[in-house]
Amino acid sequence: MSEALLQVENLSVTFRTQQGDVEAVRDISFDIDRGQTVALVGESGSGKSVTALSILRLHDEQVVSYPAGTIRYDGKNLLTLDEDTMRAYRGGKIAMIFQEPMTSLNPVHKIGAQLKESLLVHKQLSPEEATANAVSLLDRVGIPDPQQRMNDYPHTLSGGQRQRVMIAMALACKPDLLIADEPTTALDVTIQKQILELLMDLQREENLSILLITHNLNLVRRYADRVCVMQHGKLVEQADSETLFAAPEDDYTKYLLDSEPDSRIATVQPESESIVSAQNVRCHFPITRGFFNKQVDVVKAVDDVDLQLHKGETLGIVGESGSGKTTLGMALLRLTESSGRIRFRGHPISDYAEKQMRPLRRYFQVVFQDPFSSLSPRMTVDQIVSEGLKLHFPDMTRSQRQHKIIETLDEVGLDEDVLWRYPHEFSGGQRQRIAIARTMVLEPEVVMLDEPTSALDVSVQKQVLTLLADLQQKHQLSYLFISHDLRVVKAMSHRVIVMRSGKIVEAGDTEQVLEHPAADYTRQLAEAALYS
Amino acid sequence: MSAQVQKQIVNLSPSQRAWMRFRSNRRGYYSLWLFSILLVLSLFAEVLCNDKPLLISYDGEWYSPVFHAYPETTFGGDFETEADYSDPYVRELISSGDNWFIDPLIPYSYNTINFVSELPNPAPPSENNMLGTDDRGRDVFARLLYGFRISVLFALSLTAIGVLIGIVAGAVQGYFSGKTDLVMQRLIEVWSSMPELYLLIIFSSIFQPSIWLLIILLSMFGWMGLSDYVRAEFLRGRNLDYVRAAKAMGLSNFAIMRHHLLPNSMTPVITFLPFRISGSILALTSLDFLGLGVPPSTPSLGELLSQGKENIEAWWLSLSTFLVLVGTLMLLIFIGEALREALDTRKN
Repeated sequence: MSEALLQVENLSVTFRTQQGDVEAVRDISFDIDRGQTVALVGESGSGKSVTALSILRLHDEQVVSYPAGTIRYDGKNLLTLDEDTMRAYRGGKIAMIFQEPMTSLNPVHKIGAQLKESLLVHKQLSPEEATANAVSLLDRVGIPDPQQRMNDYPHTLSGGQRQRVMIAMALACKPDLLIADEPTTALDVTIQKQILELLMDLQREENLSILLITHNLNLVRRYADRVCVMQHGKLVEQADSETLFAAPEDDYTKYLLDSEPDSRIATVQPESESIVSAQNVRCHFPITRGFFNKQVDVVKAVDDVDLQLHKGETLGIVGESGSGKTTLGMALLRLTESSGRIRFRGHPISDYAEKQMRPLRRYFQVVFQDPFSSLSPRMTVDQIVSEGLKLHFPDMTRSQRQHKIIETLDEVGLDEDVLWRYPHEFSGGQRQRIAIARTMVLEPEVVMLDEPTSALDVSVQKQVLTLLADLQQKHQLSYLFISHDLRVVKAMSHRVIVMRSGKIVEAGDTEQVLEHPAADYTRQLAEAALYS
Repeated sequence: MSAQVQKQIVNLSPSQRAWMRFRSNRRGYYSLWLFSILLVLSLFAEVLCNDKPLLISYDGEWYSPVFHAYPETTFGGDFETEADYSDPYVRELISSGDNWFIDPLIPYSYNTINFVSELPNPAPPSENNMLGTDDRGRDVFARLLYGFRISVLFALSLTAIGVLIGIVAGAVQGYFSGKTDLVMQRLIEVWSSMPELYLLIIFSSIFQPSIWLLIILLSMFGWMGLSDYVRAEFLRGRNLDYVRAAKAMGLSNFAIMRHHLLPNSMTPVITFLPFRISGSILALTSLDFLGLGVPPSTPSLGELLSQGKENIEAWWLSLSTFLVLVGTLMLLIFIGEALREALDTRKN
């Protein structure tokens, strides 16, 4: 067998910080052969991105050092090359695509110009040749009407199309190795699948080697030849895909494979009362133009949605980004202007002014997706959790309040001594627990969960879902579970509604909708998400 | 750091932790001490620098002229008017026989004219006047001490008023946004195009110039720079999830602004605070220097500087004022720096 294209041997990467040196990657070795796809899998902080950036030496070398190991590309040790030689490798031989297609393209330049730039620099083509080359690249990555698209700005493209353009840019100089750092994490499930299929097609045609970095182990099952599992900067297991998924050896790998959400559906009393009901909910945002605000168009974020939520039940709302599911949630909470009738605990809250609504808010709470932006960074946990209590239970004494807070924190699995700490001192999962404690302390009846686990690592995701299910069972809570992740929704909800462009495509029992979808769209979604 | 110390830190309340962070900045901490000592001393300027004795024992009774006005007749003099204690005749009266009196550390007030000086005014530093006298024979040290007090108090109140108005205006604009923001922003633009210095000149000719007039006029214009930053912070913050969560909790608009948005919008306020204070001191000094500031008899650093300019050979005037001014501004900036670090909860 010929020598591998990339050989990483005993690599360690150290960050110099004020608290001393931190070893982010410790003694890892792996090879990538030509035309092979190797996946680097691990949760956040496992050192997978650090490893990828080391291959291109994109770290700030003031802070990062490589105390041990080699990275050989075609036999040459990249770590000892000088900066000028290294530059020829970046983009030329090894290309990289990043997670966030929104920020990887420069918003003020046309796509064509951005694509041509590297062709002009690296390959010294004439402008005409570069244009022709760029058009054919866009065509290759499946952008429709590439000639026209050359003159478009990045903001006119969808997320998936932007990622395609990024891939086109990465391929412009015909690299041998493509490093894809979470290439599909920011994309909708159906588009994720398309992008990965595209990468695999390109790999077959060009004999590319791909290093795929991801936190999603199931994604890898289909596309990678070899899988390396990382944890805390160490490589814990490395094997062929088939072997690894058939017989994982390391405990951590087993744990990761096992962190698929289990079905945690609480039992609902039959004939339980309806607690939230909505008819013909619409959120239309007019697009106005000119000095006199003439209305030229309307965005129908939510269009004629009906729903019912019963006591103790979870209603899943699924859809891809832009389908209006979060806007619907905000409308039900009366945080966005909407028309239509919404009843909550028998109150016609769609007619209520904010003042009338306020006392009811205690019973209708919300947990947001991003635990980093949903907690005020300047408030301690004590302040965050006690705020609602002070408002809705003004008669409580200080010690009663303290008691209640500690009890709630205990319920969500946090210690008493977190009280004086600030949100930034916690991990994502702990922060989400704080956000849950903030809502639970008010003893709500309905909680809207807006993608509560999407920003969390898979293993933490499972813990948070378990916690939510336990709380539901214990307090007979009703959940409105908004998510794009069908597996999570499947594990949590009794009934589900599928939304697309503001409209309900399909609604019914979870089992029925996801296993035997009636609408084409639901079928596509289910196929892409569950790989069934 | 041992686990126990770590645990202790965790159990401290937020303000205690902020104080610990402040103290860890040695330069700012010592600056605060020095500045506080100077400020407290200057607040007791009447006791330190005064042409009236602190205590007089006359005919077995005690008098404190600093706090009460006594006619000269009290001490056996001729006039019904208040006693002039620098008059050698009065001094003679209150020190003859069993009578005695205690002079303050510096026996001159800011407007005491040293008539008995043997040197022409402005007089260089001497035994009598340790930093010399100005061109009217008033003690420079006394004027500096009183002038420092006025400058600092003026700057603190001007900053407090400006910050308060700036925060309120910026918060209302940023939080409610939309039409409210639009209208207020236009009003601010109109207001900010008023010629400030010109108005000051006009007003100082219409009204009796006084420190209050200056505070009112300067704070009418001083808040606008700050409100822009606060507005931007509120605009950014109003759509964040923690604000939406607070709305969903049912908090009132005021509570959301006060507890959620304000603490997260304080960065520009705190960052500019030391510069605003030193800027206010400078503003007063320069207005006084130009003769547009406080009325003539008031002790002020700017007036001393302008005297220094006119009597360029009297180095003690300009040098001492310059050092006081630079020292004050430096201390304020060091304190401000430490304050900013202390209030950053993301730093430990």
